[in-house]
Amino acid sequence: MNYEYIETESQEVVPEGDGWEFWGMRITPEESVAVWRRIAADPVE
Amino acid sequence: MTRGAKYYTPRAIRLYKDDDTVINVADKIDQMSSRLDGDLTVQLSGSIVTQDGESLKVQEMGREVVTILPRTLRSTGTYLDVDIPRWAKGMQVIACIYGATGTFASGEGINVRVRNSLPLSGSNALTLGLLQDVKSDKYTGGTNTNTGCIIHPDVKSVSSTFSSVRNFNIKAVESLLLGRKSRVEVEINGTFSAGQGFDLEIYAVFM
Repeated sequence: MNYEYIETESQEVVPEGDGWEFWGMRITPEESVAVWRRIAADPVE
Repeated sequence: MTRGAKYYTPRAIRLYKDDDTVINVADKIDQMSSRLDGDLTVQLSGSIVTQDGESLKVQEMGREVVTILPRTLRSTGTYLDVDIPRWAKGMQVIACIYGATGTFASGEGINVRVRNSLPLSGSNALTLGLLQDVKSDKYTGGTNTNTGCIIHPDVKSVSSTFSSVRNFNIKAVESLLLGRKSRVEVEINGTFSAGQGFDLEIYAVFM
């Protein structure tokens, strides 16, 4: 299953749009972001 | 009419199919370009017919894209040994990262490594035949980013991040000699919970 992703500042900030589920955090020495995913739509031929 | 006469018709480059039907390349391009805006890229393959009616084989010197790793979620590294086409002067290996989660200390993340080598056999083949060992910089990725390596005789050595394009983190090196085999590797380190990692796919483009 292919997903598309989006990032927000924290888990409390939910992205706009339908179908997003929280995947996890990406934490580096420089940043900490929340990563969300949802099933990707089929590409347009 | 002989093939030679047709071959020298002004303005026309004509190709002959096996059943002797003729394709006028200029007309085809005119037809196609009338439906398009901007540049038109045309690729041809087949044979050239000489004045003597002999066919000279034509080999397309274009690009070939090979899937190294189909799209998958990974939290550990992996590699694949790839045969390099004989016509190839250079290669680009690119990891397309759709998304990434995990905790990364300084110096951790993901990088692409390409070991360009001669096609020797045996347990020391990769060491004995090694021509180049190229690694992209360690990268923690992000949503919709790329990282990879270029080995090509016509590029200048560079290690850059082109954030204005698509966060393209690339390491390029000049090479006067591309081997016949490459070990393409993705190296990953960091701390990952269950189900976390890099959602990515890896391609090699031979040029």
